[in-house]
Amino acid sequence: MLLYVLRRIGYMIIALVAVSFVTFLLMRAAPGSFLEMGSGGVVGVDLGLGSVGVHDPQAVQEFIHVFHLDKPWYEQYWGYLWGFFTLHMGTSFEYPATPTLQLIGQTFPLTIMIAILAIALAVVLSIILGTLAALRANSWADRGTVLVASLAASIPHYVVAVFLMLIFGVWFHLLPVVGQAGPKYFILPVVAMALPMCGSMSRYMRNSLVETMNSEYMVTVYAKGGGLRAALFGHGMRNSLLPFITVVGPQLASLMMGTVYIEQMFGILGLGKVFTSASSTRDYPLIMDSTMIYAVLIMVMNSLVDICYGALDPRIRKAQAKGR
Amino acid sequence: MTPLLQIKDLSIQFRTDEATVNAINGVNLTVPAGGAVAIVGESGSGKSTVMMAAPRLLPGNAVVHGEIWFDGRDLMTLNEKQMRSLRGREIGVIFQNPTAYLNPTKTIGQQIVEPLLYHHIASAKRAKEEAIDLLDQVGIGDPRGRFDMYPFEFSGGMLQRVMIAMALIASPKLLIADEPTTALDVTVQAEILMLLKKLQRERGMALVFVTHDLAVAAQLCDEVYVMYGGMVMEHLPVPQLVRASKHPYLRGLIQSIPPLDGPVEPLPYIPGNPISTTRPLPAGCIFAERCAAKMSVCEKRPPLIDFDQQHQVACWLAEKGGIA
Repeated sequence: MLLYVLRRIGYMIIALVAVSFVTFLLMRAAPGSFLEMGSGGVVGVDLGLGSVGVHDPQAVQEFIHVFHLDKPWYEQYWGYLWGFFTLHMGTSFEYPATPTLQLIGQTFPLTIMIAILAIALAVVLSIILGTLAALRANSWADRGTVLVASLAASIPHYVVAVFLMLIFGVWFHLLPVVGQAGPKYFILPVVAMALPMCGSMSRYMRNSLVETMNSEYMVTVYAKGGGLRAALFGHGMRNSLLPFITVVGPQLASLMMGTVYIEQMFGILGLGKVFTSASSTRDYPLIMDSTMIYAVLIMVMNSLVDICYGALDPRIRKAQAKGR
Repeated sequence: MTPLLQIKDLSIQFRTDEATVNAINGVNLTVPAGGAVAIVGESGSGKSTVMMAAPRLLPGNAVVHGEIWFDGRDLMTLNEKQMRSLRGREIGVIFQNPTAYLNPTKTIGQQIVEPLLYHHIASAKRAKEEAIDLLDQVGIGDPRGRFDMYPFEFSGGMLQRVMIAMALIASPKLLIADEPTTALDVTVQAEILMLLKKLQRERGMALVFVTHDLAVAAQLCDEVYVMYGGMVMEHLPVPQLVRASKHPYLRGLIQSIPPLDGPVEPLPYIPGNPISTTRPLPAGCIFAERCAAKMSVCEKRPPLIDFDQQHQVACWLAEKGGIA
């Protein structure tokens, strides 16, 4: 088990280096610089922090020196990487007075909260919808969910978000659409992220459960005198969750991308918002750090999925316990 | 002996999109209380279908007609709830492939006690003690330790013992064994058969043994029903099986068993293929097209003719004393 975890961490570090290198290349290849695009209050989030004037040549020189932009590229890259791993990230271009670590510390919890709530809601909804569809397999109710599911799966987060804002915010005035002043403000963002995920996930749950309920060991359950309830909750659910969990993993990556859109749309100051403004202002240190923290988050969530899988499947659990 | 199970004029069709399969075409059979009856036939003869019809475990597309009397009740007229109270408690079933018919993600202990829990016969604690006791009886060493193990940690023969324990834990009056040894090694096969015979005698329960193996049937049972194309071809007591069989089909089956001694000669076999159950049945004898002793009278389908007490043959030859 320990070996398994160590190997897992090793893979994560390799993946992280790869991600950071590609990010660095793309970032440097993108046209424009922070001095033209950022600051001066043109774009970006105003956290009440300082900015650099483009018109002062001396300030520009000092800026370049302070952020090591006069060093060769590999030194810059190494600086970002080492800074991230040792948590000495320094400050960003945009917010020279706030350490990036503190900036991430302020925004990250919001993002992860939205993400976790969204995935939890999506999983619960998918299990319920998938189960109902499976029990009524091939009925009109089942076919209806196919329609809804394919609709939901083909509409992106941000379109769903607009509809939700229109319906619950503009027409019925039930929920606020912008801001983060209280729990109420997070309902629409979470729902907007969860709904599109439900589409494919509930179908998957349905198929998985139908297959489980038609498997041979279900005949045994009935032969022992079990009814539908015993078959479904005693045997079917857990076994159909196994394949279901494997599709939750890949959803996580798109989920994290979703937070970028959703935070932008609902005006939530999360990591996604920091990331978007950093990339549009070419705030190199912040792009590097926020991308890497996103990567770490996705990898950790994927590992959690694997651990859940092991906990549900005794075959994997026992194999891991033996250290394989 | 009073009949425990009596099947009258049973016919079963499977409706699929492409075709209707005439699986069972008018079967009568009787199982005396405490007796052991074998149902023998090749693949597709309907032998398993007949016995799965008794506990009503056939798939949803099966159309069943006829009467199935069990212990004074016609099972065809019972509702699902009444039927469920019989399954596992009065009728136990063992299946062909224990690996597929056991849930891979639950411990064998959890699965063995289920009949007791479903029928509220014992508390979970008592059920566990009974299960451990029974595991010991079916020849599983260290039953207390094995109770918490998963199916993948057992061999096929061990799993079949587990299945037997599971079918017997609620002390049913009738045990249906659907080719329980087909998936096992020959040596393991013999052990399982001996175990079944021993348990059947000790408990005084009736046993229906479905098999394609005449030798196994003769070893274990008191009487044999030979099936072909969804009909009973011959019914006779085991002691008369070898010397007094009257039907050309059964005679062909017996002759195609390789002798263990004597000169090596080409084995006799029955020419042709089993009758197709997807096409309408011929008006005459269903075995006629493969029969070496075919006569003109075979254009008309023979009924089951009483040849002797406990001995019926579906062949016109029976009137003349059967095939030579």
